[in-house]
Amino acid sequence: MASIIGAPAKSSGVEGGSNVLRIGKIFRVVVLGVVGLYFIVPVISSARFSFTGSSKGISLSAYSKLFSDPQFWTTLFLSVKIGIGTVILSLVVIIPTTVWVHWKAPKIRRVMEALSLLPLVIPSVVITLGVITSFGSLPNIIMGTPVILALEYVVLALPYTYRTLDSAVQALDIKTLVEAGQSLGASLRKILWWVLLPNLRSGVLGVVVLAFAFCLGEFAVASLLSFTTFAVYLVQIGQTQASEAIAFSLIALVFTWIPLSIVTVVFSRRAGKRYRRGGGVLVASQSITELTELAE
Amino acid sequence: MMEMESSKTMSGGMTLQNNNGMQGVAVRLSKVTRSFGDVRALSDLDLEASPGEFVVMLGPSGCGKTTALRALAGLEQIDSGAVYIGGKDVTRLPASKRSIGMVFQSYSLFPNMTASANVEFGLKVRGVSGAERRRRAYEMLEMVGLSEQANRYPHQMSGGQQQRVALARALAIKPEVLLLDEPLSALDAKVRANLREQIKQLQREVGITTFFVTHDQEEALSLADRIAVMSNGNLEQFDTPTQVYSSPLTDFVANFVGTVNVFIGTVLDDQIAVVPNVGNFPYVRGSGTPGFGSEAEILVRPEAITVRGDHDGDYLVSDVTFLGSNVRTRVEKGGVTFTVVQGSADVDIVTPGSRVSLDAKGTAILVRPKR
Ligand SMILES: Nc1ncnc2c1ncn2[C@@H]1O[C@H](COP(=O)(O)OP(=O)(O)O)[C@@H](O)[C@H]1O
Ligand SMILES: [Mg+2]
Repeated sequence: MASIIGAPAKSSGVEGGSNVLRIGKIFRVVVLGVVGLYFIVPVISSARFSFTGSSKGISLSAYSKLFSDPQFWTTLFLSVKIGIGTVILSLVVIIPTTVWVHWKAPKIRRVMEALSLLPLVIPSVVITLGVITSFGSLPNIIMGTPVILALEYVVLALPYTYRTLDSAVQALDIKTLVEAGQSLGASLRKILWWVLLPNLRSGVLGVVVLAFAFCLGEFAVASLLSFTTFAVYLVQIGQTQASEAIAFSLIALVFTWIPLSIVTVVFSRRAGKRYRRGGGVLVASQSITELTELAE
Repeated sequence: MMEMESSKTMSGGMTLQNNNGMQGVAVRLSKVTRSFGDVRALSDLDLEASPGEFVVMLGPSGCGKTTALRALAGLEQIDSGAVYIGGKDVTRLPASKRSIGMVFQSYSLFPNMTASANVEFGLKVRGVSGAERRRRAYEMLEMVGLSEQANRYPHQMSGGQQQRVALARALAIKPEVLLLDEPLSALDAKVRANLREQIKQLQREVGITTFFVTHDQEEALSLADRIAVMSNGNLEQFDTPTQVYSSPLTDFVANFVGTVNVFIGTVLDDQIAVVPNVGNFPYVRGSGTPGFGSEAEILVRPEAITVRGDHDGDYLVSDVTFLGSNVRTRVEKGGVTFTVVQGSADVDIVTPGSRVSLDAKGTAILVRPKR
């Protein structure tokens, strides 16, 4: 029956709309092409440079040098650990906060949003100096270890992460969903895992991607706090060895994209099957052990 | 997709009652008060339902209906008073511990779950096994005529279907009380009328004590065993639809439930009030009725008067609407509009612009002092 109703509707609008559609399509391709080139060209020329260097002919020396450099691996590992820690902490802080604000105190939503933007207004150097002077006396378990970096990154990434989850929560009728769950006898924990998180999947994914990417690329704070993270090491190398530095940043690009693609694929596959559980948060939460390692 | 709201009614309903053994319980709100800042949403509200009763809470928007229902559900804190379900004081129990099923005004199905998974949710929370859950969800969906939609997600269903799934979900946990907060208000008129009938039939079959909130007086009159008319956080009248309609206790009820015409006349004796050139209306004396011989406002339903074509009549016809079995005529005199509803068969044909007289036919619902 549905097809009978659907059929005539289809043929009616096509003739008139086709031109507009085609022009729109061409326009889209052109815009995407130009923007794509803007991103791709520097990457390609960097890649070329990293394989040739100043000499003529192709050489992999820049890469083999890097891969055999133990510090390359330790700094990469450090950054990944900090990234995972930051992602987990961000989720633990932001999910309950945004849900609570939308459920119990929708009036302060704008205030929270403004607060989350503060790290953009206050230079990160200033925040870091504040951290050093305020928490300098903290036990070594936090201050002298990358934990302090993860803690600070949670705050610095807030402008991106908080807003991402906030708009995901905004798209749901949180109050009604929570109360429907309660009226059916569910505890808040069950409502969170069975109802809210599955519906916030894309928002959570956004937080994971943004927080992780932020950590891998951040230079100023890490160097101020004297941690040789991936980004700090990249800058150090860049001061002396140009082609190695370029190779380094290409690898960084790959290393950023691989985990993010995995996360994205895991998430969307779960979504495709059937919305089910808290989703990819699990992926992150398995690595919580690593966070405790950080604290050692 | 077409709305198939009426095609499948509650086929499994009769057997359901036997399987479930759902027994209605008594429910009572006692002196419940709730304020939001300066707004007194509920003040000393007393309300009770007998086992299996269908109570409709009726009132204008903002009068506290939702707050009262949420207080019953345990979703809203109350400042003072008590809530009893089945004789048990549940005032301090959170919503998740009260045995209630709730259907919300806005669509409340979990978007990440199919219709079936939504219905299963409350059972899953209670640790019911997978097979038993699915069997029961199917049974409930069949009861609301949606077993074929079991694997659909909420966004693939119409508004009416979603509310029926919500109803199935609420009933799946075999609650002691069913609470519905304007469940039909987001639906279009035709679906609304159909679903209203289904809800009523279902409630009868299951026998569950039910509170239904609405601001639509027609909905209230057609559904309720008893109507609780509310205004400004107070209970104005709590009685059967017939009583509320024909013997409103207060001005507010008289005006809010149904249409009233306000005539100026005099109180003749303790049984009759007279409207000049219209006739005598029998009435029942109350505490506020003015003394004999004094001028009074006489409130009369549209069905209690008839229209008679008359070139020298006092009233000018402004509008005639044919409603099928009834005809509604609006007439005017001195800037005041009166509404008359008569059966199509016994109506005097009049046209807008012509002059008519009105004749008393029924009783007055209220006689009050002239303002
Ligand atoms: N959470 C709340 N915060 C502040 N005021 C509220 C809240 N809930 C209800 N109210 C107020 O209480 C009164 C009754 O509301 P409600 O019970 O929703 O009315 P109804 O359902 O009859 O339309 C209204 O004046 C409303 O503004
Ligand atoms: Mg309401």
